[in-house]
Amino acid sequence: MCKGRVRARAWSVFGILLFSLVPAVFASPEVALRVGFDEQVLRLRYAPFQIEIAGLGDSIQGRLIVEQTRGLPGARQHQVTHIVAEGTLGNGIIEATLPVMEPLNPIRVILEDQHGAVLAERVESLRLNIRDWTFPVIVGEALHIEQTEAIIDASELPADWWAYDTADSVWLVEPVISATKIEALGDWVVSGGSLVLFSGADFPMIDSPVLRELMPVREPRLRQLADGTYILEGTPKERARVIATRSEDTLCWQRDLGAGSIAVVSLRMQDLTDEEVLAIHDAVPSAARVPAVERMTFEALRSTVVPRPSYLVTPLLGAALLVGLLIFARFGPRRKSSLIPVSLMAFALGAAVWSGFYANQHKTFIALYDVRTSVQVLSSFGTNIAWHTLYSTAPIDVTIEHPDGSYPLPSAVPTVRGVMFSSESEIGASRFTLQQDERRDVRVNGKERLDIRASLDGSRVEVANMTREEIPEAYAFVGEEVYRLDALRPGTFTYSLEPTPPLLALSGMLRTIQDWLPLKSGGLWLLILHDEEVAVDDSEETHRKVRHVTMRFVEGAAS
Amino acid sequence: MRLHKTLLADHGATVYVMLIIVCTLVLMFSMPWASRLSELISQPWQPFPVPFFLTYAFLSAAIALNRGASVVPSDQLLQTRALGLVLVRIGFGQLLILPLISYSRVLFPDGAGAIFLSVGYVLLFSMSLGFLGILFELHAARRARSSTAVRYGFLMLYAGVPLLFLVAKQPAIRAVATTSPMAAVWRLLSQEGTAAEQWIIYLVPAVVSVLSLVLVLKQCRRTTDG
Repeated sequence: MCKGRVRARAWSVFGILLFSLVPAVFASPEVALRVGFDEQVLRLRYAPFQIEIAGLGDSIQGRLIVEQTRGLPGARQHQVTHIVAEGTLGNGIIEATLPVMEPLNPIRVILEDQHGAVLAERVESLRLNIRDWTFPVIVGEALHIEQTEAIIDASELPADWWAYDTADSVWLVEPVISATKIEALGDWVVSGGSLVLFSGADFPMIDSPVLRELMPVREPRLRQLADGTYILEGTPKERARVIATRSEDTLCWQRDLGAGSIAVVSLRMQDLTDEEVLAIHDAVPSAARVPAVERMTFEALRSTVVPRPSYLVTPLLGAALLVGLLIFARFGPRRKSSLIPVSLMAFALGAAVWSGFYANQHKTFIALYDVRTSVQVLSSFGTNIAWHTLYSTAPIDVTIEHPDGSYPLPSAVPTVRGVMFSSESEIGASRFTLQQDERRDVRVNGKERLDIRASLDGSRVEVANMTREEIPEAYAFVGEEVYRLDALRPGTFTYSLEPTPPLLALSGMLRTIQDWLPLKSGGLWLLILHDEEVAVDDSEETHRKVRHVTMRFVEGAAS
Repeated sequence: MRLHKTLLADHGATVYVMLIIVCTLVLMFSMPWASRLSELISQPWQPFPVPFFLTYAFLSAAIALNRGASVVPSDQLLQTRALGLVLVRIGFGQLLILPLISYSRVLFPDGAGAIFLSVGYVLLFSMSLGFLGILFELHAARRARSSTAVRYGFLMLYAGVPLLFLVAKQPAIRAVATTSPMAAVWRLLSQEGTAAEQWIIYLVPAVVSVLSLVLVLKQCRRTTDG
């Protein structure tokens, strides 16, 4: 009896073990995709992509690909491929920020092994989630301010600032603890974003050095009100202003940071009345869109020098040969010696050798001009928006290297017939083909950190240049005035603000960005210009000329 | 004095001056004009060496015919020395134009192999036409006529008629077009032709050279025998 029971138990344990193996044996890899905030997207704007891999027994070597189709259904379409992860892949969520090409077409996610075999794929349609305008993003509990908002969880916040491309404003109702995400939000604010942060009793949970950099008040502290709620108090930072009050207490401070705005509400959302929320909403500005600088970059492209041999060489060679021949024809018969004909032949041979060397040095046929215009805004946080303005003189395959995961967004307007908008993006580089005489603008976003600090002291500016290099061209914007500064030496030096004649060269550029960056808001802004032709790579493979134009806007402080 | 006569006899200077001026002008117009990209965008430019090499090949052929005819003495008693004289005169023209050919390297961004192939072809082709020039002049002189019309008519036909084969659909028939110096130079510059086409390109002037050389030598022997 006892023996039989033991055997029965042994069989049951064996059965349970066998049964537990069934899901593992029959489980197959799966991928799931979520695009956009609350799955809402805009055409040709960046959106956060969350791809979940499940059902993998072990980690595999492979890659995760997102395939999109550009072009309206029924019209000419182009395949756009992004490899968002490559190498060792396991179960879990992979985040990426990708441009949404044409949401009317389905998006396909493919999980491949290292041999290219498809392990799992998923096709998602975004047709019902297309928005025409940017919308508020509410993080945490539902806060219905416009009836168009996207409501997400704090864990869904992306870590790339350009992922907020579709956001009109971001409202942090729920405490966000991740420093990386706060930093991304700070970068977004500097690039023109509009962030609203609720604090009150939640403040100790979210308090961090990164957040304090972002806040419009310094020395923040909590005070308990008569009704038991906690309110945040502090000393407003420079150019911070109060945009909502409740009797004697400040409800919301707002401050411009870079090209954007940050507002901090001194209470939790649930401690506010609907009218107070509405008042704050009305006072908070919308996100400023990064201006289309294509016109500005096109000017840089147009002024780029075309490498070519001197135009005079051919006529000079021809003229020299003619003169030699005519001297020989005119004076040759009079002389017995062969000096003139021998000299003529020696000259022809020498000229052939010299022109061969010269031609070898100057046979610069540039198939691709690549003018990279970087606009960097540096404040407590920093962004780098780079435009590659490309011009091809021959059909050419282009590879653009970019920071890992910063996939480029090409311009939508074709400049020649038969444009191929197909592209293949890996994590660090993107490839596409340009037709002859095609011009294309490609936007790449990145992060930048402050390595220059400036502060205004009356009629002088103190600049701490931590780049270790002298900066030859710099300007200071103080209100409506623009001053040209001397070369900025490495280290901390003071420069006097001498009156400068109107800077016509800057006027076109400033017109382009004046609606975006508040250069004339009354504070100090430093503009550092750098223009260099980086390389003329005339190898047989590339035939490329690269020019870098960098504009660094550094937000200074008044001491 | 002797060298002057050898190289520039019978309006030789004029012929070479024309060669230099025309080739210089064509090469000059093949060069990029734009100094800023804005100019390049409004007037796109591509390296295109074909016009220069076509001009160079055509003029070299015309000069070879001319110089070939110039070595025939008025008494029609041709000597073997005349063959050397033709080659020296053709070579002198090529030497004068050599700096421009060398400079045309700027029009070849991807290697200069096509230049050597084309120049080699033009030399061979010029040599064959130089010998043919002698034969045309001898034939015309016997009838007390000028060979100018025949020479240049022949050149036009030689360069033009094979081009008609370009309209053929079959590749084998279309390859006949490469017997024209124009099509041959174009094919050598574009480096698109098959190996068989390259053989045809060089074989035709080589065969013409050998045949015309044999005929010229026969004439020389007659002179010696006479």
